[in-house]
Amino acid sequence: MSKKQTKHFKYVDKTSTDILLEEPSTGNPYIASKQFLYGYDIEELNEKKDYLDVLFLMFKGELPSSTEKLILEKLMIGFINQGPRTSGIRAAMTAGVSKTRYSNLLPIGLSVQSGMVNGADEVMHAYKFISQNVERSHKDVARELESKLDMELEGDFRIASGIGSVFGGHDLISHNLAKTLLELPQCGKAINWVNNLIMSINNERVGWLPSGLTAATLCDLKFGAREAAGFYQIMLAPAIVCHGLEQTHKPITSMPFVKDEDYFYE
Amino acid sequence: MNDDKLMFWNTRRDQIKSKSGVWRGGEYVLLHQHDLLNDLLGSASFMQVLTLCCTGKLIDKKTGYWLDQNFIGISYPDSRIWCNSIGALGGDASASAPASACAGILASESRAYGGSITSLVGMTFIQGALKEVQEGKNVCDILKNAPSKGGKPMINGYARPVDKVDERIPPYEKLSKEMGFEIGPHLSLGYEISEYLTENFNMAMNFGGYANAFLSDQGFTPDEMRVMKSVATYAGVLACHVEYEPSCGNTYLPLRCDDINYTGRAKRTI
Repeated sequence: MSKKQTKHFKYVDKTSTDILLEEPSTGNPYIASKQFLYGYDIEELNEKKDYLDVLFLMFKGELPSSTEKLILEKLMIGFINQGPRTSGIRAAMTAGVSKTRYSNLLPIGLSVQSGMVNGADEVMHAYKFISQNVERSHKDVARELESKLDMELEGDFRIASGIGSVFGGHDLISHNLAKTLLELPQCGKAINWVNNLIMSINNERVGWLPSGLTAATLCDLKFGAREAAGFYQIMLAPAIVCHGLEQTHKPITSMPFVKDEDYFYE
Repeated sequence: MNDDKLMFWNTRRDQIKSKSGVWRGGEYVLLHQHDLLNDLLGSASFMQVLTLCCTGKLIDKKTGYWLDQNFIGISYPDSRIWCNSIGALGGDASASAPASACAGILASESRAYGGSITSLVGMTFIQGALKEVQEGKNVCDILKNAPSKGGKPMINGYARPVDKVDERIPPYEKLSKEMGFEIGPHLSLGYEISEYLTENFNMAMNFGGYANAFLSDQGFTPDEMRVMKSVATYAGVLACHVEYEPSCGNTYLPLRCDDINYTGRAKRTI
C-alpha cells in the first residue's frame, strides 16, 4: 500500500480565519503593518469604538446596536464578580495564597469553572436547551421538567441546565439581574421565556442561575452555544484574576487549612 | 430558612469526609485503605498507584505494567500532534513546563484523539456492542445503528486523523501475548468489527480501539479510563516543550502574514 493510500484525512495547506486580516509590512512578510477585524481597520475601531463594541464584533462579526450593547453591558457588570465562594475564584485564591506562579491563576480558575455546575459547559448546555425549546409553550416544558425531577436528591438540583437551586433556595443575585434585564424595553424572547418557565414551576427553590441567565441573554443576542460558553469565560476572568492575585500578597496561612480532627477518613 | 433545610451544607461547611485517603502529618498517609509509604512505596508501580487513586482498585502488577506500556503508546514526541504542538508553542513562548503540560493535557481532552474522551466513547461503544452481540445481534446490525458520516460508520477507535495504518497494534499484540493475556470477548469483537470495516469501508481498528477493547476485557469501566487517561499525553507534550525552550520566541513553525488565509469580510469603514 502506498503512503498516500494510508491517509484518512486531507489536510489544507493554510489555516484560515474570518476574523482578522493582517497585511504584511513592506520588506518583511512576518511583520504586520495593518490589521483588519472583520473588515474594520483596528486603528479606526480604536478611534471610534469602545472595548465592548469591539469585543462584540469579535464574537459576532458585526458591531452591536445600542440595544445589544446595553443588554450585554448589564449582563457583564451584573456578573463581573460572582464572589470568592464561587469555584473558579476560590480555586484561584487557593492557588494564589499557596504561592502558585501568578500567571497560572487565570487558567486555574477558568479550568475549575469550566464544567456543568455554573461553568462554561453549563452555559453551552443551557443555550442549547433554550434555543431548542423557546418556541414551545413554557407551561408544557415546565410540566415535562417537573415530571422528571427527583426531589429526594440531597443538595442542589437543576431542572434544566442553568435553572435550579443554590444552597436550598434560589440565587437572588441572578434573580435581581434577570429583573433588571427584563425591565429593559428591548429585552429579548429567550430571557422572557425562561423567566416564564421558572414562574410556571411550582417550586420556590427553582430560579435563574448565572449560567442560565448568561445563556438566555446570549441566546437573544444570537451568539451561538459554544461562543456563549467562551464569552462566559471572559466574563468570569476579571474576578478570578483579581481575587487570585490579592491572595498572592499574603502568607500561606491567610486561608484556613482544615484541622486533622475535622478531616474524617471513612 | 430553618437549620434542618440547611443541614446538607452545614455538615460539610468546615469538615471533610473522604473515602479516597488521608494524610496525618508526621504519621502516615492512607490511600483507599493502603498505607502509601509503608505498603505501596517499594512494592507498587506508579501506574498501580495512579489506578488506585482514580478507581479505588489496586490492580495487579501485570495489568499495571500493561497500562504503563499503554501510556508509552500515547507519548509520541512529534510536535505535529496537536497537544504536542501546544507544548512546543509553550516552550517557544517560554511558558513554564507545568503551564505547557497542562495546556497540552487540556488540548488532548478531544473527541478526536488523546485517550480521555476517546476512551470514554470507545469503551462505551465496545462494551455496548458486546452486550448486543450477546443478545443475538451481528456486527452488521450493530454498525448500522452506529454514528455515521457520509455513509461511513464513525466509531471511536476505528479511524485515525493522520495515518490509517496504526503501527502500534502489532507491538501491543506481541506485548499482550508475551505477558500471557488472552484475547477476551471485547477484543475478539473488536477484531471482528475491524475486519468488517476493512472489507466494507476501508477502515480499521486503531490503537485506541485495541486498548479500549483490551481494557474492557480487564474489567475497567469507560468512566474509569476517562479519568485514568486524562493525563496520558503529557510525556509527549513535555518532550516538545523542552525542545523549544529556552527560546527567543517565534522559532516553532513561524508564520508569515500570508500563511494565514483570511476568508472574512472585505475591508469596510465604520
